[in-house]
Parts: sequence; structure tokens; C-alpha cells
Amino acid sequence: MIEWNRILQEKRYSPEEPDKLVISFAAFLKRKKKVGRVLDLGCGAGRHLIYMAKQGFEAHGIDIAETGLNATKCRLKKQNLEAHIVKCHMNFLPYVDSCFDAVICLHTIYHQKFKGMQRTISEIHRILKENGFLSVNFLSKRTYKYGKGEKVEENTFIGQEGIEKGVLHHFTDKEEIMCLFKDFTIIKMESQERKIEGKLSSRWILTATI
Amino acid sequence: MKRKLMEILACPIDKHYPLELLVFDEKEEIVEGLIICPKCLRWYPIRDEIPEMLPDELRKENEDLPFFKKWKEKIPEKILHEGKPFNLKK
Repeated sequence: MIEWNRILQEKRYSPEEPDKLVISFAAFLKRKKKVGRVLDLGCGAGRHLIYMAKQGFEAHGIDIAETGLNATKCRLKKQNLEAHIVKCHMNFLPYVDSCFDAVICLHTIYHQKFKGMQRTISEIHRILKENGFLSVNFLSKRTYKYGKGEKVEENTFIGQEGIEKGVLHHFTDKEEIMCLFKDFTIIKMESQERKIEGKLSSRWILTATI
Repeated sequence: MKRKLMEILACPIDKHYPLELLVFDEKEEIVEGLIICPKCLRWYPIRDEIPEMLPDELRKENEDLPFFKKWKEKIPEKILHEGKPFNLKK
């Protein structure tokens, strides 16, 4: 929690432009006539929450770091937008069952051990409505950060340098994702790879429904 | 926090619904208040318009108890003395 309060003070960790994934997910939800209640799980400084609110969704966001939530609150007020934010943990969601049409979980779920990820996915399953949709991404084992830092369990490392020093990352592969989402119907799963200063960044992007 | 959020809030621990809302300071939104789970007696502060619904192990007694004491005149006796994770019981 302390790490994220510190990290979210860095400007590059609180951009305003939404990820292309969220723009395409919003368009997908509109095509499916699911412009309802959406949760941004790990909303940080609120760029995706704000985008979804602007797109006409009933936008909700959670985060564990008050730095991000305070930034989100200020941005919402500045833009005269309505959304709901809660400080909570992704494995203990404070919502009734089956109340969200969609959940966005980007750059978030992999900052914990495997059992934590299982718990988060179970919570997402619980709060999604039937035929609700999820957009989530994972760090691939192919990414350049894999294996670096202190190993805390299989495929899980704590960064030892840079801005994310002290932050845990779990790296995964297709087989593990299929196992994690056995209670979901996977609509789309793709690998997104790009080179950053000659280093391979690799993520798994998943769209799923229940 | 807007009042209508209560329509979908459940206790993060036992998932009980509905929860009880105490409002201490309200402007356009609820600025300060308390959300109570009547089943497990956990209480969750609303501070600076943001509800804080963390599991016990992430709660900070040195931050939460002063808030609890500040509003003790408006908090039901049962929560004051039996509330979780912290209370005023000697």
C-alpha cells in the first residue's frame, strides 16, 4: 500500500489518456448493449474510470492507495463527472453479488501471489452479472522483467530497483490463465508484445464473460 | 460518497447487505460518516468523501480510532463497545 502511494505520485503512473484496451472494451460493451454499471478494479488516478464515465457508464472505481483515489476525486470534480470510488482491497470487494455489467482490471491483478489472484478472480466472478464482461491483463513470462528481483514463489518476484522497488509481480502463461478462468467463458485471449528500449514487454490480454 | 452507493455496498468480509449508514458531515456528498455491518459489527469510516472498506489486517488503529472517538456521540453504543476491528471497550 505504501509503495503504491509513493508510485502514484510519479506523473507517468497517473496519465490522463486511457489505455487503448479500455477504449476498445467500452466500444465492445456498447455493441453488446451493456452500457451499465462498470467497475475499474485498481483505478489508480482514475484515467479509465473517467473515460468510462464520459462514455455514459455508471462508473465505479476501487483502489487501495489514497494517493490515487484523491487524484481521481479531484479529476472527477474538475471535469464535473459523476463516479463512485471506494478504498478497499481487490480480494475483499465491498459489493453485493451480481451487480456489475462489466469489470476492468488492467495492470493490477498480477501485483500479488497466485492465491491472491485466484481470490480476486473469484470476487470478480461473484460481483459480475450473468453475461457480464471482464477485461483483464497479465504479465507474460516472456517479458524482460521475468526472473529479476527476489523470488517469493514460482513465477513471482519482488522488484529490487527502480520506481517499482518493493513491488511484487506475478508472471503467467496461457495454461495458467486457462486454469484461473475455468469458471468463465473466454471470448478473446491475445498476447501483446512490444520492445521498450530494446527490451521485450509482453502481456496477456483477456476478455471473458460468465 | 453519494448516498446511492449504499444500494450495492456489502460488507467486504461477510458480504452482508444492506449496511447501515451514519452521516456526520454532508455537503454535495457525504464528507464524513460511518458504514456499519449489522451482522459482524464491523465499521468503516467515510473520510474526505471516500468510504474506506479495508479488511482488518489493513486497518490502522492509530488512524481509525481518533476518527471513531471524534464522532462517538453519534455512534450507537453497541458499535462503540463491540464494534470491529476497534472499539472503545476498556
